[in-house]
Amino acid sequence: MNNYCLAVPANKGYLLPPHINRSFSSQEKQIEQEEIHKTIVIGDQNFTTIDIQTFLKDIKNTSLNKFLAGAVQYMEEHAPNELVQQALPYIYALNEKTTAYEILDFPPLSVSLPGDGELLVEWNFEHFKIGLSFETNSAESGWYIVHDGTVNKMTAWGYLNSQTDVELMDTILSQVVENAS
Amino acid sequence: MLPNYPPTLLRGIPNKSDQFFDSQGQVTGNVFRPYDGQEPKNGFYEISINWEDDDRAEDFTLHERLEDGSYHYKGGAARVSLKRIDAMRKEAPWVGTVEYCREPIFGVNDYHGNLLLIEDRVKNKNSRRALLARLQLMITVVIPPIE
Repeated sequence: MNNYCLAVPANKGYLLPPHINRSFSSQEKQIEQEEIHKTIVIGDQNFTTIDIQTFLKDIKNTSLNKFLAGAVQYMEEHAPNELVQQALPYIYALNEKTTAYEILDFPPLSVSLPGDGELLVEWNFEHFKIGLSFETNSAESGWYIVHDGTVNKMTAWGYLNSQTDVELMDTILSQVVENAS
Repeated sequence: MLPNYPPTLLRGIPNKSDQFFDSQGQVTGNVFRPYDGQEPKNGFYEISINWEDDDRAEDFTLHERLEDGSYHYKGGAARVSLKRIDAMRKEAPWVGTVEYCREPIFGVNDYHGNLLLIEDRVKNKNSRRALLARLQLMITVVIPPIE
């Protein structure tokens, strides 16, 4: 937990997960602890960095929207800590982004432990579901959106990584808000 | 729907743990996951099911027992609509991904069959997660276990 940080896109305030056990492309630069609070450029985006412990301490002080709170409590009581630490940044990023839509009645996030070192967080809607899967080997953590064939939604899946996570959160929210409104 | 298949099938759920049920009490797609160490046959993983050929199939399934005499499906059974499976098989991302067959076990289980999940989608963790989630959406009801 000491040698990596979270990157927060400076212009949007989205929260990205820690870079754990993964390789970095030539466009990226691994964030070192001593670079905390510095601005770095990845691709065409500016990022500022904070250390993960500070981040988790800060976000724990923010109030969770009710559809997320039960999932967080369940994770903390049942899931291995290393997986919870992977998942929390996504949960809180979702919390931050959905606050703007607090008028909507979102279904609660659900949590399960399918085995094989996996923590699965799912957001289940009547005709589609969104999943975030966190693995002991974080390079294998992934996401998906699937539907039951009765709605015109996207079907997609992929690995979680910092270059797509901002886009992913926007994609997730667009699917959800479209359904909820 | 292919001929000689009933409208529904049952997939037994081994237990009520959070391996198969989420924190909201809903059964998860993990119920369709091949067991650890399972090898594919002819390019497909076999997921054991019972076809609901008559009104005794549900009772038969829930009363199936393990070698130690305990009930096999302590989490109950998930009922799946074959019509939904056939619809899924026509959706672009899933064409060629799911097949099914009968495989009665002579003298033991006439209802037995398999959902067949294509090997490459299952071996790849990323697509497997999505496939299992998609299959979960075809469950119409979860039948509680025999207590």
